[in-house]
Amino acid sequence: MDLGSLFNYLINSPGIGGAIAMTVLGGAIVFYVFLARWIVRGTPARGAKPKR
Amino acid sequence: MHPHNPHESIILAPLRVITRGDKLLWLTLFGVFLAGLVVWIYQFVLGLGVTGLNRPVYWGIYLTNFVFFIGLAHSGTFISAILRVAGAGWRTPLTRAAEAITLFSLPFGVMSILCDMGRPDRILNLVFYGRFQSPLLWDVTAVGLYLLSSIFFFYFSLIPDIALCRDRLTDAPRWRRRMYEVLALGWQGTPDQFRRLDRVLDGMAIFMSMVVVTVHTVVSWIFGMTLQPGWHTALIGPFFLLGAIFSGTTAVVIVLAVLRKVYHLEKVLTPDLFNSLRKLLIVFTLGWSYMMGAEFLTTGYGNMTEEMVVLNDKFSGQYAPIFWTMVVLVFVVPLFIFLVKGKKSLGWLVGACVLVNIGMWLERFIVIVPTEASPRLLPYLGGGAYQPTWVEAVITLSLFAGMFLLYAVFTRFFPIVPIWETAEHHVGHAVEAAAIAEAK
Amino acid sequence: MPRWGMVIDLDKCFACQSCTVACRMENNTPIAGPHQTEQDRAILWNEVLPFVEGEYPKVRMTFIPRPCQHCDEPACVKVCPVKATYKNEEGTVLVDYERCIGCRMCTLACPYAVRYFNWYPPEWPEALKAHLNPDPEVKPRPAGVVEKCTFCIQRRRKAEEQAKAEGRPFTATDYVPACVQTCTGHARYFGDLDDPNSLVFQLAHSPRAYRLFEELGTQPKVYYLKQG
Repeated sequence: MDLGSLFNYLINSPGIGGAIAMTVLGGAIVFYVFLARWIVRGTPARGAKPKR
Repeated sequence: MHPHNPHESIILAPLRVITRGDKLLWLTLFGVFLAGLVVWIYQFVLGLGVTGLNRPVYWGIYLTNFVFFIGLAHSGTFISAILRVAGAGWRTPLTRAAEAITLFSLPFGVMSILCDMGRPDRILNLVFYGRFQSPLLWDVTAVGLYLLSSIFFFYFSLIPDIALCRDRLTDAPRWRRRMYEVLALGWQGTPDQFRRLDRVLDGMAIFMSMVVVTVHTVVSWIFGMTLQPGWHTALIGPFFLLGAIFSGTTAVVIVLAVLRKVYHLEKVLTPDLFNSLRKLLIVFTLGWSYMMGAEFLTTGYGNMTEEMVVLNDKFSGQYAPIFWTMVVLVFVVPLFIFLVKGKKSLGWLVGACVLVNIGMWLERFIVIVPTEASPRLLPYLGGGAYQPTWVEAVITLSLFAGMFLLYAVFTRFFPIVPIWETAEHHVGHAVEAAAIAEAK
Repeated sequence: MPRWGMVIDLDKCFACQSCTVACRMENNTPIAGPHQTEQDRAILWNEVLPFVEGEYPKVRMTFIPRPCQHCDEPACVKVCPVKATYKNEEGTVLVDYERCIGCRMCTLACPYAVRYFNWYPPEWPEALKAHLNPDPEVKPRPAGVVEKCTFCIQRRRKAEEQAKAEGRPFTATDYVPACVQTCTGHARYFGDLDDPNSLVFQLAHSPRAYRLFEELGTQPKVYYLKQG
């Protein structure tokens, strides 16, 4: 399949669009939760137990 | 631990009491919202025929509300994200109040669409069968991402103040103290934590600025990607975007003026702030009229038949009263007030902003309905007309009531002015804060 | 694979509206009633549209029977968020009533106004209820979904089953939509646009042939033969 028809397939197929949307939104949630933890806890130093 | 802010007690004062007036307000707003819910169920059971929608006016008040609420949401992001990236330090007292508008208007934008769907029970079809060629899927992704990002952006910048509430509001009932504890995520206010928080907010501000541009452009494309005369214009993206930032900023002015009065925040929300916003509003109203002018001149000069029908409908036909009211409310009167009266008087400024908001709601209506009422097949079909019903009116009112309710409740539980961001020695930008720490 | 198209001769059409009525009986379109019709809610998969040009005494009337144009580049299919409307392999644009979420973007994307929305659950006067078409493919649609002309896709299926039962191959002349069959003036033609020997092919290439809004790029498959 060349790039053009692959693009067409991704754009047109039902379900793929839904998957794209949910991946973007789901990925965003995961990333933001990770950010929240990082803000409060920081990156734990190697070997040492993370201090709170 | 908590950066020192001389205004801390003023800002925390509203959180220490919930008045009878509050409870009455919340109850009333909740009642109106509930009424809307009941009416929506009525509409779902009987069918969308209970609205004034018809052929060819398939989209009406619900879509107007959708665009309007998403537009309001742009206020917060503009103030807290775009101005943050621009380094405008004067924005710090406003950021939370503005972002709260974003946070509490977006869900009602989404609800507006649910109210408009013929089969809202099939909403999951968008997930299982979604097609990315459709502008509606772009909407789902963009607005969804905007909502998620706004929630977290808002929450992150709230964390230090939640910790402050946890530590200061020791008189509060148990459940409320527990809520602050949980939401504070164990925030201790160490320099490292503040540094990381500023970095995240800086990064998210840039991202949110890009999301804002994308979202309202994508919202406009559910109209712009069709071939309808009046909709199919390249200018529709920028036009909607500027309109959103404009109406959003006027909403911020109104909200700030109300908060200033009700919670006695005169020392914190100074006239200078309102002056800065006023100058922005002058730019916005001029920019909006520039876009309107460019659009109508291009359309009118081109003289294409199907486009001229819509244009004439707006200028001198069925929709002329609404159209010219809109022009007066969005441009003529506000520009005069912004330039002449608004500098001296907050009352006049707020009045102008109220007019702009009403006018911008009408503007959304004017973009959507006249084009539908004069479709290409007009010479064959005859013109359309749209007479909204009580169903649409009640649901619209209930959505606004819901937004006001969330906002009002929020202001009694969390400080509406960011205490940590307006503290001494905090310049709201990670690099400069580190430099100041270095210099000490 | 046939590519179904239609040709309507405007010299022969005299706007009797039998096509509109036949379509409604064949496809179980709900009756809107006088009040709802006044509110522009009537569902007419095939409509005969009047077009008046000029002023008295030099008035010219044209009547355009307008079914779905079954475009080869349909604007409606592009915008559907859930692929509830789609073009099948034979070029017929159809609606999946089970999947439609009722967003109505397709109704606004179509420049020919051929798509309709079910504002209420379907209703018929008692007298007509006994005459509903029992074919499951035209089962009455619920409220909240979009519907439109399908070139009577159920007749295509029935014709193919008939041919198989009679032990002969299915050909393009075996099936016509209800409007074509009923047309009093024999003004409507239907067939395979890809077959150079078919009547529709030859008529579609006649000098009198034109399509609605050709400049929009939708490539409609309903051709009109110019009046006069």
